[in-house]
Amino acid sequence: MASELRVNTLKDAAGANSVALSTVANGSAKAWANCSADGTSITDSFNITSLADDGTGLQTLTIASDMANTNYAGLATSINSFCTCIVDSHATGTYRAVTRNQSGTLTDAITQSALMGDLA
Amino acid sequence: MASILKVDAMQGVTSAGDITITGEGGSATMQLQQGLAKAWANYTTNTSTAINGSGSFNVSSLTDNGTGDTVVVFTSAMANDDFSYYGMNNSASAGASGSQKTTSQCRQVTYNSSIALADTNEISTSVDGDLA
Repeated sequence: MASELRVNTLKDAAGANSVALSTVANGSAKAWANCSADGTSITDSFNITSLADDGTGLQTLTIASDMANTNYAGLATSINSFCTCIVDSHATGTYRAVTRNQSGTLTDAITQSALMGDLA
Repeated sequence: MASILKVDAMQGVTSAGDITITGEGGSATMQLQQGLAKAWANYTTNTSTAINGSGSFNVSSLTDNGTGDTVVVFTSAMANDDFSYYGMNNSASAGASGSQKTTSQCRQVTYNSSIALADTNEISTSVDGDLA
């Protein structure tokens, strides 16, 4: 049977390691994605519905449950050595990952990104 | 009314690994487990490769693969190698990127402004994905 529990704080049974539910909610990644090396597909994800290949090194990811605003933090790393990946544009329903090689040229590579912030 | 729940473990009722929480806006919901970082570490590679203070979670050890090249070993393994991980290097004009991962570890390289592998005093790595 499904159930709903409403509490403000969680503690372990000994009464230690207190954490507020607000910390759990605020501290959880609201979306993350691991995308393929050719930049065209999602390997695994959470709260992501689709990926649009906007060209070499450019990917727009669509968020399933939107963010509350555009002030969220975007974390990104490319798994290819010496490639950098950043989240360069934030909308409540999408974000864009941009990947460059060591020469600064846009390139396709495995990208990993996550969003920290408030859900709508 | 404020309330405190004292427990050592939490499981979903319908599915043990699926607990729903409501987001900050009070309407959207998300799966608690998927949003939690499964491992993180703050570590140095300067004079030796080591965790900075108590700065890690679900990390059993670090392996020094050479200059600017570190393997982060998990205590509890991931379910598959499709997880995402992110690295940040606190040195100015430097960067970090991944290079390979398995269910039990991920590899982080750090480099300087000349795009050469380089050790640094603070690297942050975080992992999202499914635990085994």
